[in-house]
Amino acid sequence: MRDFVLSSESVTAGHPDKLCDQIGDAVVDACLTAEMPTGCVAECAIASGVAFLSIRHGGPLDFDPGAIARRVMVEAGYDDHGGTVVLDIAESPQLRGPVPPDRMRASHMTTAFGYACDHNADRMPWPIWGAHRLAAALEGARAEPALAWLSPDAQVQVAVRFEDRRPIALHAVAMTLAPGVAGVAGGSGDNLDGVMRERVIGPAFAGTGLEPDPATRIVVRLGAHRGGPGSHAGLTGRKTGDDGYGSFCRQSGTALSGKDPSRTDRVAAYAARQAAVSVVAVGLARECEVQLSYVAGDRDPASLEIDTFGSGRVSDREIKERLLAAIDFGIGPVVERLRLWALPRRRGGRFFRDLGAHGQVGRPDLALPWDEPVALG
Amino acid sequence: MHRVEVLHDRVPGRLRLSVPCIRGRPLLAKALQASLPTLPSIAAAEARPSTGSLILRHAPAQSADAMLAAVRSVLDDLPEQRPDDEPSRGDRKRDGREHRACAGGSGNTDPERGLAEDEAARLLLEHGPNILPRERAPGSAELLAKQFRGLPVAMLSGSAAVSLATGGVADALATAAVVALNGVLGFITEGEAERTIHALIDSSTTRVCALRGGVPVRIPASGLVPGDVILVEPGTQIAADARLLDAEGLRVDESTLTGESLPIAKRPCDQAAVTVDPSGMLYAGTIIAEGRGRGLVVGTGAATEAGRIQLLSTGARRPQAPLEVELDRLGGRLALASLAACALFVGLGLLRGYRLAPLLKDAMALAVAAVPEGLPVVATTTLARGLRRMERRGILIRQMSTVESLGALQTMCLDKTGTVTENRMTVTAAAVGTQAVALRDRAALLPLARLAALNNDAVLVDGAVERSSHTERALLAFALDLGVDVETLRRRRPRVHTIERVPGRPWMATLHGRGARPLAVKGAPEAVLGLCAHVLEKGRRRPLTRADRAAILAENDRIAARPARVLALAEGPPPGEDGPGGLTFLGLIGMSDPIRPGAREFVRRIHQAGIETVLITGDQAVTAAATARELDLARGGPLRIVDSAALSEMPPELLAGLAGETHVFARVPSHEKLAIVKALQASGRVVAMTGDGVNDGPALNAADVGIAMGESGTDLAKDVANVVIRDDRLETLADAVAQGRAIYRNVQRAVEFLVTTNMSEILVSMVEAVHGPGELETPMELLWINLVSDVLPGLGLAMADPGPDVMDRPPRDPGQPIVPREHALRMGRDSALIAASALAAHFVGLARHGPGPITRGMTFLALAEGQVLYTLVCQRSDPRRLRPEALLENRPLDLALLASSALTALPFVHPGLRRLLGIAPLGRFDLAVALAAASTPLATVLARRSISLALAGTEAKPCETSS
Repeated sequence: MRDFVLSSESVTAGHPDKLCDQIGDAVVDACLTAEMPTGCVAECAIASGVAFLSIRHGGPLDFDPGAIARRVMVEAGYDDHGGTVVLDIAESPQLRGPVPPDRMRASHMTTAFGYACDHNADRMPWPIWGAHRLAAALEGARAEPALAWLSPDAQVQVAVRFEDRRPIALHAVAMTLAPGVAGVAGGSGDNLDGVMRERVIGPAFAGTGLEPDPATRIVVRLGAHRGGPGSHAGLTGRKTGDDGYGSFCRQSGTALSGKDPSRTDRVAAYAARQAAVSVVAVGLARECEVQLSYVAGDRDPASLEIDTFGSGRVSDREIKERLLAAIDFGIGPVVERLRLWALPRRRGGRFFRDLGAHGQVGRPDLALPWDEPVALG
Repeated sequence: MHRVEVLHDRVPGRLRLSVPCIRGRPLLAKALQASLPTLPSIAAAEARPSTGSLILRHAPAQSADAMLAAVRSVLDDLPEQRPDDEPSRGDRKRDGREHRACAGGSGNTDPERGLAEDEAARLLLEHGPNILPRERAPGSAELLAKQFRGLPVAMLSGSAAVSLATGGVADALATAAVVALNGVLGFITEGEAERTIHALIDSSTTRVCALRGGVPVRIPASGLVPGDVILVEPGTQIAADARLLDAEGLRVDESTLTGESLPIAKRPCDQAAVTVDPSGMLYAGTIIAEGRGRGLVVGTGAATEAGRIQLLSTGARRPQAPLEVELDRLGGRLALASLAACALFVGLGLLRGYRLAPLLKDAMALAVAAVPEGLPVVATTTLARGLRRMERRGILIRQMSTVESLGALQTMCLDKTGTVTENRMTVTAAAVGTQAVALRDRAALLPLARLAALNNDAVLVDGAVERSSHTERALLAFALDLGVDVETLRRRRPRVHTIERVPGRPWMATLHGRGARPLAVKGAPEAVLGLCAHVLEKGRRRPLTRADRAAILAENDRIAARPARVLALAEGPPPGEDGPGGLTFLGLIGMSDPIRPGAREFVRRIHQAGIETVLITGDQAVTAAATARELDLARGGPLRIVDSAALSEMPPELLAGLAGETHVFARVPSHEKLAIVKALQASGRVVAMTGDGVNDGPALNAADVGIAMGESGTDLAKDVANVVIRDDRLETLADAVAQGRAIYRNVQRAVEFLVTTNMSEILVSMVEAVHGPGELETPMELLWINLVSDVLPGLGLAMADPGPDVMDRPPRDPGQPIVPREHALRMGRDSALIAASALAAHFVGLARHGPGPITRGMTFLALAEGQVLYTLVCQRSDPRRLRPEALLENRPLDLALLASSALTALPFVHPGLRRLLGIAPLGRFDLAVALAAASTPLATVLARRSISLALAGTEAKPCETSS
């Protein structure tokens, strides 16, 4: 099957699932920038406007996790009602924090997937790339007085038509919005489709090569509820598709957010992305999926496998060999190369947190190390 | 002149009047109803607009005419209202809550100066002390009369009447004598107990602040009179009904009166108005949640709203503890059961063709056997003794039911300040601008210290820091330590306006004369930072960047995690329309209050006793987490913290669900403590709450057990709490729980003993009655057992000390009846055992002597002494936990057993008693048989215990320290 329609979904930073991801990653940032950096695992759930935050950490906490959760929500656009955060905190000695790279071993059995392609400069599959753009445009639109009634919580979907695995048309766009102020839709209720097309969808796709045409179906739904953490529930790691490639390639089901760099599943996902980016950047293939497996306790991966879907200039086997020759996929060296322990501090205490919304790969705004290709000799 | 007529006046102290003018005019009726009780002679009034009638409860000495005159004059004083002023149905005003603007003889109190002392003294004579009616101990006559009420006494009297009718004059006299003796005994013991209870409960010495002759003085609450001007501040429990003269952000918790759990805003009404809306009134018994105010007392004592409710609902009696109610019910149920047994017995006898007279006599013996006459005496005495013992240990119990709640306690809410900590707050860290600064760095800290001294409610008295809260005092002391001349500074820049810290506004702002930035703000770091646009660093003022904010918040977190309570300080221009804004951030100050030594051990002990602990604190979550870890609240497991400044906004079910799993509630404003207590109670728990007073009143009041610390706690807390720990020691608090458990357990054991032995008497009587005529024990024998030989062992059981393991087991199920179902089976078995042994002696006697005094004597001895010895078994709820070598460890019980044995032997040696009881002296062999039968129950239970232990093998080995 080379011709198909594929849709990907993205949500705004105010979506409860994404709030949970951001809160979890903000806790990781805080742990890694503490005076005595400590490892941690932070999971979050939101229901009835109450955030439940569970933290396992290795050393003393010198930050206020409840305040972090509230700050994330306020920054996403919700009012601060002195909101309730239920904390579940336990010290867990094995999460002791930065481990010297030469002593790092895989913490879990992991198979991670990474992908890159030439659909756009960010080397991301078109549907998820478009969905993130649209979600960002929607967040920006809340600044316009006419659209200030929008809740910070929205979901968008972008369906793209492919021929021979190349994107050729914007097939459909769907948006699910919520009125941020109960019952108010800014008087644009009747003409919501038109307003969205003109103010949000049009600008979002302008100059991308695939712009909405009269054949593009646009569905805008307005929820009855106000949206946000008070209306519906959220959970860390429930948007793994948004974090990665929007179902364009195979994906691992594990969550990335809320885990410190000692967690192999998170690190392996970034390493696989970097490998795929390197292949596409050097022009060895138009697209590339990298499968990277680790066995708990090992330093090196159990296997590296790639698939270029027939777009390779050379055989997949040769690409794989060049990858293995150029890049050390040992878990310690990967963490070292991506500077995962140090980045939060180097970026002023805020790094992982921004990965919690709008995707964890293909983010030129964040200058992510794993979006940078490694030279393949 | 209003027409008022008497409709009904038969009952002294009660009048029903016809007042036509209130018919169909609910508002007027309400006003009348509310105004009448402010008259000293009228206790309560109920006006019914539907019928135009008025029901009065008044002092019985007052004549009906005087009452009529009083009602007329009140009606005359009420404002003339046309019927069309009356609201339609559905008007949302609360019933009967409008008050006359002024009552008593002093409508002309100067609100600025208050009453003069002599005027107050005169009014005190006129109106009586400001005491709620329920605080009155029951009178002697009332108590004596009580002894002769109830089913048991009625049955005994019936028995005497039957004896009289059937010619048994001696029996009748004896029964009457027993009834009288029982009554007197009960009167004495119960009177003693009631006196103890009231002495303890009445020891409240609430003091209130009133204006007398222009000076605020603290006087006992009982000395308030109508016309007094009282000053109220947060945490004050209002001592009398008062009309507000002025108020500043006043919110009052009226849950005691209305059940409404949220504090209600109050503001003074138009002073000229004759009736005052409830929102302009302060009611006795309610608690100031926040704000300050001044009120003019309009009603005291029974004339208050609370007094009226008391009077109407409880009839001025001490509310009975649930345990007492349950015992009453149990006694009643046993008496009913025995009545039914008697009826059955008489019915059967009649069918068999026996004559009615002897049948009735036997039936009465049966009835006497069945009634546990000793029950009320034992229970009341136990409770009273328990209270006194606790008082000796420095635990003041202010309410009877608290003892039981203590024993069933499942969750203890610990207010961090004052309970867990030493209550010595000091500044331990500071940051200036975005940077942490050592506390030695005087130059850097000075601007911060100056602001902390200005924006501060604490005062300097002769150089010592006093008043206000620990936080405020700590900040002022900090300024003094850095050499700030506080008095001069405050004189130079006097405070001209204050924006108080209130819920939802976690900062306090003060406006001071002079200075470029006259507004000083101090409060929760995030909130204050939100108002800031600049930061002052190294003497330079610059715009606050996003990075600065993050750095300040990170610094805040670091200080808070020490742990310490952190406040931010800022200054700025006078507040605009939307309040303060555009402030300049000065820095952070962290204060900490060290954990008490022994707190960790206390928490361990409470956990060991199966009681959950919940730490409640206003600190940030990170501070609270550090404290919780220090106390090991989570017992090594994950620490669960609810971090919320708006608990009451949470869905109540969610909060109730969470509360039970939570170790710490952080960032809790004082007024939200109530929500926590309610949530825990909603999940079915028996909850204790400790508090130091200011603002803790509502929560202390709502908790099943409200605990105040006697030394460090404020008077306010001590007034509301129902347990006061005099010496402030946490060990004493743990002891209170142990005592509460022991008291309940002791009453339970005594009750089980009395009921078991009573059942054995019923069984013996039934078997004898069915077996043949003339065999039955005399009523006098059974009375002797129930009233003489059983009471002392019962009391002995009740006096046992809390065992060493009383705190090693989970709390009892509060819903469990005093005699749990699983105990009933064992009690049945044991009563059958006692009965069988006694009957064995009975049948040996029958075989040797036939029915008559000797046989009766043998049965009596076997039964009475068997019961006395059986007491030893009752020292443990679970017989498997009995240790034979420890049976004689309870000294009072041992003495009781000796005394009881002597009392059992007495009728055998005293001819008069012998005749009365209808027994004869026993020969050597008969004596041996009877005593052998008497020791059988004890021996059998002990043997059964050994066998069941042997069978159970190692799993159920009784633990060494076992109870």
